[in-house]
Amino acid sequence: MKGTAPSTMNDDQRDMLAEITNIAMGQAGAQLAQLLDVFVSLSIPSIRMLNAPQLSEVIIASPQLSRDITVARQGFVGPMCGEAIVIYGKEGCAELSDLMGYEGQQTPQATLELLLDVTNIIVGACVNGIASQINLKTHFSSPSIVADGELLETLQNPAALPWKCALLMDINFALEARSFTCRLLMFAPEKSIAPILEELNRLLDDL
Amino acid sequence: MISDSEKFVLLEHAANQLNAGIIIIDPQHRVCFWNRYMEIHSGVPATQIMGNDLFEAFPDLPKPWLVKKIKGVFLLKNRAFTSWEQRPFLFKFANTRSITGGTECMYQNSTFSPMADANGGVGHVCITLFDATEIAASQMQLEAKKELLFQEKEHQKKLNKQLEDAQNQLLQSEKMAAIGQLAAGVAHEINNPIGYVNSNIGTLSNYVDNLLDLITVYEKFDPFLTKNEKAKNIITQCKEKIDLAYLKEDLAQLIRESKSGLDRVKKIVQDLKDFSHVDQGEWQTVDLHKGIDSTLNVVNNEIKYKAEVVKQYGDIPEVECLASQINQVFMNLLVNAAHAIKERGTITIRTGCGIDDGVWVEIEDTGGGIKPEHINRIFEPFFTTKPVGSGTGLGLSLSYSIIEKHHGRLEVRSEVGKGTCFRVWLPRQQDQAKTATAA
Repeated sequence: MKGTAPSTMNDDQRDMLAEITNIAMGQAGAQLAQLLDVFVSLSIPSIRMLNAPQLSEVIIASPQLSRDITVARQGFVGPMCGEAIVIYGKEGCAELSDLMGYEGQQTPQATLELLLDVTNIIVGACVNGIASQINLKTHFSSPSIVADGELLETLQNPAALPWKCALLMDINFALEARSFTCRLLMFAPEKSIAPILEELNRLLDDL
Repeated sequence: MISDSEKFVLLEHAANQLNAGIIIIDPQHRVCFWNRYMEIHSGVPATQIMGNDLFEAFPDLPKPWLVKKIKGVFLLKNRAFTSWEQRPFLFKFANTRSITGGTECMYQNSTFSPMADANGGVGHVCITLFDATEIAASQMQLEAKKELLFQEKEHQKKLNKQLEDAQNQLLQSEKMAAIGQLAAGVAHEINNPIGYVNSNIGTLSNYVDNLLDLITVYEKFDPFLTKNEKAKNIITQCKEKIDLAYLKEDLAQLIRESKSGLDRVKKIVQDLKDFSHVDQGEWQTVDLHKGIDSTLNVVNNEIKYKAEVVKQYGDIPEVECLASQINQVFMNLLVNAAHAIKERGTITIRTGCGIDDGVWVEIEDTGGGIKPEHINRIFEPFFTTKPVGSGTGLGLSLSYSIIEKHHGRLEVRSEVGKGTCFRVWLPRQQDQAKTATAA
């Protein structure tokens, strides 16, 4: 099995992963609410396998895309590895700044730092939540902003992507009573899918 | 195997040798570890800060934000980061380039890592601080260069555009000059025959008057012809045949009409000459009303079926200008006004002078108006809303540049559905220096 990644998962595996992601999201939501003192609502995670050319469809379907967006990314390494992409609409950022301890007028730089902070927290909470349940270790690199135009270039040329097939966990975030929303896309590429499926199978066997 | 205590000494030694700052704090933000790097760069020895509140020791730190960040690490058991790009300096440290300089402070990247305690929770947070000055400096240099390149590119773009505009205007004014010369030539050619026809008509008029006088004299002697019935009959028959009474009346009228027709031809020829100004390029002091009137005559055909022209001329002084070019502006504005009117409307021409030592001319139509999204573009070369082939899109841009050359202003106000008003403002006299630069 090693080296050649399975490009499909069966219904049991998918249900199991959905359940795990759900629990992880519940924990993440509770932690975020505790940190930010505001209720966080999370959509039901959608889980699917996708091919590289489908990446652009997935991103274009973001509700944030109807306006100006900022995109952040954060990689995670270890037995469970991959990359998360978070898509923010330009609105609502200002409403977050007080929650994150920012003072005074938001400069463009401060807004980006705020989004990086939020990215780190959201990605950390969600990925850690999943990883800890399937007993896979993961470490995070620092988040960064995807430059304008870079994303577009990536999407236009899926053949150049370093992966063919990836597992996608897709979650929408919103803060209660605030206009802030974002979309979290967690991608696990081929080499990460096998260990995840292996752990899922082990959990399924234990049932 | 080494003992735990030996291992501890080794680790502490390593932590102190590391070329990165290491701070460990507890949930109350008390410093539990402060490595050599931090001692050297902050100037605060570990012995002094150990056990003390980090924020009290460094009041410069952005407390609310940092507290939140550290709280997040304790709570989520997850790393957090800061990057020099968004937050250049966490601690205000002097940079290490004391000689070469370039930046004021040390740019820093930092990582906040959770440190697990025996119960599986997070007991401490470890802050590691890295010097990013090198990267930051070169990155900022790159950015500055990029910005410079971008500016140069924009400048070049602007120059190219100016060149293109100038070329187009040159082309258009060449065309207008050629038309002007042609018109002047035609006018000259017509002028000659009109000259002698006019003079002949004058003479003819005299001759006819003389002949009529003669007939009147003859008629006075009619009574003396009673003896010669035959002759009298022939004369009477002839008079009746040619309807002499009517002929006398009509003859004068025909001559009068011919004269006025000739006057009109002469006027048009003169207007054509005035309008085209073969002597163009000469700055002269002219009466703008004359210019408007002769231009109106030239474009009368374009206007008369569309609009009634209302003149509201004020009392204006003569203006120093290039008459042919100013007339061209009036022509453009008048023709545009006529084109803007769909069925039938009014073109109002107003003139006047303000306190600003200038003269203004307004040409207002009751046409369709200009859409707000177009109003900023109407002076652009090649911008036209007329169907392809009907307008060059050069008229207004040319007018604009002509007025600019006269150090005047061409302004527009328009309301969709109501009409448009163009206002030309010209200074009475061209400042010598300004004229020199404009020439």
